[in-house]
Amino acid sequence: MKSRSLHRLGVACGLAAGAWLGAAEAPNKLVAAGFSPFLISLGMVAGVFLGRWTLPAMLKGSAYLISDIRRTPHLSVWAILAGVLWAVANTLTVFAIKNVGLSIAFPLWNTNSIIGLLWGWLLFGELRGAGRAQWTKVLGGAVAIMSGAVILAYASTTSAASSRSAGIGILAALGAGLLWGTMYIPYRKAYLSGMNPLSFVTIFTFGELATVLSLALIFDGGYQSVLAELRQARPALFWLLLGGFCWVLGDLFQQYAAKYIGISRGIPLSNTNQLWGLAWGALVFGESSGTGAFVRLMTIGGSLLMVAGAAAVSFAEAPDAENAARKRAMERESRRYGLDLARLEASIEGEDSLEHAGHRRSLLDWLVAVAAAAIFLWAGILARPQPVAVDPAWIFVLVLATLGTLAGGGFLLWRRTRFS
Amino acid sequence: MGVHRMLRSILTDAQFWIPLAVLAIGIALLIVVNQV
Repeated sequence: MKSRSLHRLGVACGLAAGAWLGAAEAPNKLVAAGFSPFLISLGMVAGVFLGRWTLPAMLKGSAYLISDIRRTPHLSVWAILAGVLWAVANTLTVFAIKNVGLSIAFPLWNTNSIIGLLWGWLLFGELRGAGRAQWTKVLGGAVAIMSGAVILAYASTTSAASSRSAGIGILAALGAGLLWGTMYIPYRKAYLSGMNPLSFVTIFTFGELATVLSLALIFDGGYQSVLAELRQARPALFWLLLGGFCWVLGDLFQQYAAKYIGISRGIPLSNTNQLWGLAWGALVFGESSGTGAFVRLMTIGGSLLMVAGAAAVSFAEAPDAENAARKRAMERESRRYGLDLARLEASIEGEDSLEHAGHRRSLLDWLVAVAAAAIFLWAGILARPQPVAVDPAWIFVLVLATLGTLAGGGFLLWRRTRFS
Repeated sequence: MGVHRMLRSILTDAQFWIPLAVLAIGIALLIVVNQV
């Protein structure tokens, strides 16, 4: 019964992650306004950095986070590595969107669920000992996701301006999928080792920001060039920061999904962001207008096939034998890094061993929040409408629906785990 | 756990090298798509 309620919590977190990760991609459309992919990525990650410091500090307080990180210092290395993987993948997605469009690129990099499923099975005992029914759901879902990706790749080569740029876009999107799928190795490792997702993302963000900054400096013509571009992009900065902030909310839900239902189930669920991305692309930015009916049909059919596959994978609740395999993976971490196994077990059941340690929010936490709000306000004052056509009515509908998932997912997490 | 032992545990952990290898592929890919 306990594991069932955690499964439901994980599913809710995965779906909320989908909504927010999908919403976060909308600002990437500003690539059409002529900014470099590296600058777009840097602007977005600046928003991510602000969010990843502010939200954990506000939800738990920095004293709590420091205590949690000290219990498993080795995971800091893993979190930074995951941040670097994220940043490289995120930059690849900008190239993908530029060459094949958001509605095509999205489902392609969502093949990360197949990669994550492979790592989950191979390294962490996910699906080991699962019955035939579970395997059928997972494998059937995996095949559906792959088939959807092939259909969408075909649709993109018929609709894109040239097959050369479509090839580059597809390569970049699939590369991002590989990196994002592999990024879940550190995620799962951290949660099998009893770390709070809020602590993990706080460290993660250093690897992320440092990498994106380095990529911008190396590939975008050096310090002076980046500064000049930043000045030029100032009117669009608010939208990029906002995109990054939405991404943080999505990623936090995704982290909780990875913790409570594992990566083989959590990733497909959060990959429903593809559906949200499609909605933002087609309804708000009018991406599908102007393409042929056949190409549109293939895009929708391929996307639906991928979502059906992801749903089948996610409805496969872990049986006892699989939970035993997970425990073995946990024992491995406990032995290798000298961790208390009982604490790890309690953590994966949603218990927070630091809850009664008396950590409170400090003045520093409030300063972080105020500084982040001030930066957003400053960027908001400078913001100007971008030369990209949007549909305000659909923006309202999608924003409302996305906020609904935040309220629902956040409440469930607080009630069951107190954000642990 | 001391820093030296911690680092040794990480570096001898086979799971650590998988994300590193994938990261190398990703950076190579980024160089290629940026040049085309």
